[in-house]
Amino acid sequence: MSTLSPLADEVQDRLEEPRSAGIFWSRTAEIYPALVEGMDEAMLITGDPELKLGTLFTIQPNKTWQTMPAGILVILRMQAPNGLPIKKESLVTLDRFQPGWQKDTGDTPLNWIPMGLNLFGVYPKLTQAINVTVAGIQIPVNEAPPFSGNETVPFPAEYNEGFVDYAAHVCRFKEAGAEFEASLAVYQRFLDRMMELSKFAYRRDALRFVLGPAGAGAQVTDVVKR
Amino acid sequence: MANLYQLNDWMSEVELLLPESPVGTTMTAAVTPGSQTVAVGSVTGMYVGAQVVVGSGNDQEIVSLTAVDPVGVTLSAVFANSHPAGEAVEGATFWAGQPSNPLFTQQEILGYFAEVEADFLLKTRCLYAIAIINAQVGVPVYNQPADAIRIERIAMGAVDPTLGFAGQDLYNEEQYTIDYLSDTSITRTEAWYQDKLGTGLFGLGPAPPQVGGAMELAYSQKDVQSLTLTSSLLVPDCLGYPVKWGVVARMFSKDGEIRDSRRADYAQKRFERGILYVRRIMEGVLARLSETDQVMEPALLGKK
Repeated sequence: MSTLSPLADEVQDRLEEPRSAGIFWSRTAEIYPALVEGMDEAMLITGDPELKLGTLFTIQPNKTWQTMPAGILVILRMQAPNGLPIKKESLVTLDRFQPGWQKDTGDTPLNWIPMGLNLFGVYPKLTQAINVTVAGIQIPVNEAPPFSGNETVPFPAEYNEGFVDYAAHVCRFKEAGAEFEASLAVYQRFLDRMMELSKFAYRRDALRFVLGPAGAGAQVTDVVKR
Repeated sequence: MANLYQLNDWMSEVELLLPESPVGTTMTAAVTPGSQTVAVGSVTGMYVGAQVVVGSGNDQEIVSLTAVDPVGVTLSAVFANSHPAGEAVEGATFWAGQPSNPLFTQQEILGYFAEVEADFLLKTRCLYAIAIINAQVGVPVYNQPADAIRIERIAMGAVDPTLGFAGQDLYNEEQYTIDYLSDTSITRTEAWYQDKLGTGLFGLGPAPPQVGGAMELAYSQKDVQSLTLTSSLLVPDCLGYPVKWGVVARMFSKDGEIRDSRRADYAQKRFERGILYVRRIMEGVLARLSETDQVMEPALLGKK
């Protein structure tokens, strides 16, 4: 996997900047953050990258609602210590078909319940903490700026040109006028690429996003059409 | 999910789009608490009244500059903490036009971030919080939590000191439906409502008839903190960039020399696109409560 630094080199090539700290665009303050922003947008479009946590996640006892594991935006799958899947269930379904489910307790969770991007629930409530295996959509760079350039790009290599496109486009925002207008086509190329790549993610896991590949319309905006 | 970005990081990205360089230097001498003058590497972007972030970790603090000397390359401020030489002095100060005719002020940009984040959270309802509230016998109406956008679910039960909350969800109804539940033969609270009460309140029907009850509220959450340069947004860092674009849209639609309707339009679309992405993820993974869950549920039952 790549790191931010070689991608930043490519962005500086596109901007006709030397591969250095930068002249009109700061490598640290503008180009690295633009690459990270591109990865965040790619994640939201494609649902990649997927991460299976290398360390087990501890579900706390005596409480239904748990805090999302660090580094993950949404959970996709959970497995019990014995390797069996803990099935996802909606809160509405539990409330409707199993009234009073929050009164039940047990040693192993049977279901997990999505609740926003910061919480999830478990059924039944555990009497003791257990460690589970969690896979989910990874937050691409879960670090604070300023970035060093050594941060790993957690996507497959075919995403990389899209990130360079994205960063080269965003950097041109401050130029305004014709330079920025010309770069809108570059952003559209990023969107087209991510839409294509979202089809792979969709084939792997068609139920990840029930609205299908790149459901949020992947067109630049009417700014480019005018 | 702990955020790592501070608001100053987001504001610096915004300031660079103007384009204008935020303050980013270091102290070349140590400083002790109190009103002090300290040498720094550069005073570019600094002006009297500007707020900058000094240090990091536990000794990090925001100071307001009381004097800036471009000849001696020093700043003056009242420090609460000690800082060794070499500590960072950073800040998106929005210095263009200061002090007499600024394009933007720091407080203005902080205000934009608060407004745009509130708009983002309102439109996505992507963060939830849980609150346990004691039910009082015969009291039907309660205040909703101050950080609630909307109550999504209420369960009624009791809190066990060991096992935590145990209870059952209530129906969400309107008051005219609740009225029939007020029959004295019904011995437990069965529904909650929010109509015809006034803002920020919710009601239980019938009112709790027994001592020792508790409610578990699940609600979509808003950010109620007063934002400063060292605050974090409530939305996860990876969703902060649409908020940033929403702020940029406000900045470039402001009257005056900075106004640029094309870039403002672009930035607003980027903000709106971020909302669409988050809604799609929320619905795709069944992470949204209430009505959307009910819509999505039949498609997924038995499939996963």
